Order: sequence, then structure tokens, then C-alpha cells
Amino acid sequence: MSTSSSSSKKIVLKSADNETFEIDEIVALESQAIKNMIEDECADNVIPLGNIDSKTLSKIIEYCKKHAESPKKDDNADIDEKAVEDLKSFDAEFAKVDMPLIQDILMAANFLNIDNLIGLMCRTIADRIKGKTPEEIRKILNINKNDLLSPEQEAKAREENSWAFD
Amino acid sequence: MVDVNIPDDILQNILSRLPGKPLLRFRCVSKHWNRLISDPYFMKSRSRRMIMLKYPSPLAVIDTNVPVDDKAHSMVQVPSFLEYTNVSIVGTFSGIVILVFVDMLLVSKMVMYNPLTRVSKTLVVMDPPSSIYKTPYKFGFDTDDLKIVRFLICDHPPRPMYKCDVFDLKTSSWSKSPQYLKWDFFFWGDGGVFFNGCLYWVISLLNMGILALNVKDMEFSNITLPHGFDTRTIIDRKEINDYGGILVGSLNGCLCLITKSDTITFDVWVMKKQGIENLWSKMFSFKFHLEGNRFVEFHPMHILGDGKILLTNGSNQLLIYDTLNDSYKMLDDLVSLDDYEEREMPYYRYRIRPVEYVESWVSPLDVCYVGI
Repeated sequence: MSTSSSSSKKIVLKSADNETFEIDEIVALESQAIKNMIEDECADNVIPLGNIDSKTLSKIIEYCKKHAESPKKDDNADIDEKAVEDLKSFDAEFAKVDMPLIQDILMAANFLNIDNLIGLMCRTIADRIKGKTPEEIRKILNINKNDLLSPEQEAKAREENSWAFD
Repeated sequence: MVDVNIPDDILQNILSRLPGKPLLRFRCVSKHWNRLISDPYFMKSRSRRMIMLKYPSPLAVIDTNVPVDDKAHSMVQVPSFLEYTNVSIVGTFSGIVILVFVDMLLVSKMVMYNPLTRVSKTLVVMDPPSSIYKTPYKFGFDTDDLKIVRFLICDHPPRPMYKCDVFDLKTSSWSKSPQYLKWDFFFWGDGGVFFNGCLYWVISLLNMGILALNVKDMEFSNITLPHGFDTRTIIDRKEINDYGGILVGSLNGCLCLITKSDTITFDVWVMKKQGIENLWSKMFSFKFHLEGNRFVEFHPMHILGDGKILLTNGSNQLLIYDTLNDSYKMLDDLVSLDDYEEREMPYYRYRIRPVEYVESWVSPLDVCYVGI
């Protein structure tokens, strides 16, 4: 999976299903959690990520690579607009995956503490659910059936917020 | 996946990005969602700014946080919940908008309305103007002390005067002793701007100017306009209308004015300090017209809290202009909402102040416990 120049320092990530990914350290640093591990010198050569499967991890690496390569906002006051647009369209394409994978990426991004990716996934989910009914939400996000409102409570809530159900 | 529960902070992150309408609906998803959504602190941190304006139909709410093509959420028409012939937007606090509806018999109702929950409460009913001057009330709202200032032309022998009185929201009563002002001016717009303890109205008759009211002391004063505007007379009224008049607002913590020096040039002035000569200094100018069409002229309608400027034109187009990077976002054409009947003169449109409010769950029904 490794690409790019051999001169830079490498980090190896190991997924839950024991697949290893060798990436440039600069890419790994997109994750605040990994960054902290490296800074605290408690990262071995191989970082095991026991709760992230290889499908999710490869998506995350794809995202971090792109964002690590892109000029950062605070680097330069006038970064060219093309780079910003490019990153925007990358993000839009990146988010075009099914809902279970979106949720997996979100949970992993949360664990790895990748702020931008958390934001992108939350925005994607919000966009996808904003036109849905409560019943559809329960299905899509697998809401615990023991936590539903009582029929009386639900009827009252629907009446009070009736315009939102038009 | 899906056997892992979404942590609360992530769920709130998702929910905070939703427009108000789905948020209301999703209170029914589960007890947990209902708790998170109903939490006033969640709404506070969400801090979603909305714009209510009188056009179209006759009230609409604009959500600039969603893309314009999301028609279900970017512009929502406020349903008529009263029979009326005219409506004024008086002001806003805690997510509640204060509106005045005037009916066929010129009886006015002042109403508190939460556009998110659509709960309303009538504050006070105002008798029709007793004088022969059937002009509508003019208002201003003191957002610090929750006081509504009202003007009306009334018979006050030997000559008609402006009667000015104050409705205190906290006590729900009118001031005992109204003030009278010489009726030698007209209000340029329908509502005042509150800034730093004072209300400001653009006025005109012999000259254009600004009427200021220190609400605490109920002291009136007149403020002159930047040089060149102070001498414009009522004879130039057509010209002033053409140039969209003068907009008063606040920007970067200063009282500011927007004037137009020609059809595409906007000048932004800030007030330095009251009571000195040359009160106004020009902060910057900008030019704006739509690509390929210099002849559709835009007028400033409102200065938004983030410093962007709401512009409109005679064809009911509405856009938000960002002075920082000279970019704009076109909002829905108001004309596309077809059931709206234009009642006012076209030029009057941009003299009607929109309000910007932050969505909240605060109910007008128990507002006496809020922020007081």
C-alpha cells in the first residue's frame, strides 16, 4: 500500500482484520490521536487499531493523504482558490458512500480524532437524514427500540410540532 | 457496524447541523433524541441565525445555512395566523419575533411569535388611530430592556403631533406619560435600529437625517448625515428612492450607515463618536452589480450580524453580499413564490427591516421567565 518518497518517516497501521498499511508519518499526523502517541513516544513502529476494519481504515488513509498534501489554511494567507475548490470536490466525492460505511468512518475518525473528517461525516449524515421521517431515522441509525416515546408522548409531540410533519 | 451507539457529542454534532424543521420532527425519534434536541444548551450552542422578512407572502423565514436549492428548508413561508391587511416586524429577542398585525378596521395586535415552534401570544391590542391621519404605527425595540417604542401621528391641538409611548414587555404595560414630538418629519423605514442603549430611525422631510432616542432617559436627539446627504431635500425624494435611501445598522461594534453614490456604488460609513463635527467616516466603498447586467440596481436591505449585507432589487431578487471577498450568494427569487400579492410601492420594499434571530425553544407563553 506504500507509495511516495522513501526518505520520509513511515508509520504502519494495523486494522482489526490484521491488514497493515504503511503510510508517511505526515499523513498519520492528520490524526490527533496518533500525533499524541508519536509525540509521547509511545508509538511502536506498528500501531494496532483493533476497532477499525481494513475497509474503513483504507478510506481514512485516503482522506488523510489528500488533506496532508493540500496546503493548510494557516500556512499561507492567500492559498490559491483552486486548491480549496479541489479539496472541496474531493470531500464531496469521498462522502459518496453508503450509510453504514459513513457511520464506520465517523466512529473511526472520532477514535483517531480527525476533526475535519468528523465534521465532514456529521454534515453528510445531517444532509442525508434532514428529509426523513422519525420512522426512517430509527431504521437508518438503528435506534434502540426500548427507548421509543410512548404512543401518548409521540402523539403529543407530533401535535405540538405538527408543521414539521407537513 | 451499527452495534455501536453513536456517542452523545457526535450525535449533537450531527443534530446541530439540521435545519429547524427536521429537528422538530426528530423529537419523535426516541426519548434520547428528544432529550438532546430539547436541551436549551444544545440550541444555544447550535446558534442558528435565521432571517425573517416581510416579503414574500407576507412573511418568510430564510435559512442561509442550507444551500439555496434545498427549497424545503432555505425559505419557509410563515402561515397567516391572523386576519390582517398589514404587518410590521418590530424586533426580536431569545428566538422570539415581535410582530404587529393591522386588520381591516385598523385595529392592531402586537404578537410574540416563535417562528421555529410557531407558538404565538398576543401581547396587546391597540385601538385604531383616532386622528384623521390614518398612518400606521412606527416602532423601535430596545433589546436590552425589552421595551417597544411606538410612534403615531395624533390630533394634539393646535396642530397634529407625533405621540411616542413605550410598552414594557416585563410589566406588559404602556408608559404612563407619552411624549409628543413636532410632526415635521417622516420615518424613512418602518422600524428603528437598536444600538448601545439608543434607537435610531432614518427620517426625512426638509432634510434627511437620523432621529436618535436614548431609551433609558427618553431623550431625543438629531444626528446629521455624512456631508452631501444632509442637504438632500424632499424635492430629491425621487432620487433618494432611486438610490435606495439610507440604511442604518451596526457593523463591527459601530453604528454604521450605507448610502449609495450611484446605481452600483455603496458607501459604508461608521459613526465615530456622538456630538462631534464630522460624525461619520467612510470605512469603505464597494461596487456591486450582477454579471452582465449593470442595469438591475440593488439596494441595501439589512446588515447581518456577521457583517454581510442583504441586498434586493426591483425584481424581487434577494442576495447576501460579502464585502470581505466581494462574493455573493443569491437567495431564492421572491417572485417565484406565486401567491404573494404586492401591496406596497416597489421602492418601499427595502425600507422594511428584516430581523435576524437565533432559533430557540423559548415559548411566548412563558416568556416572563426568560432573560429578565
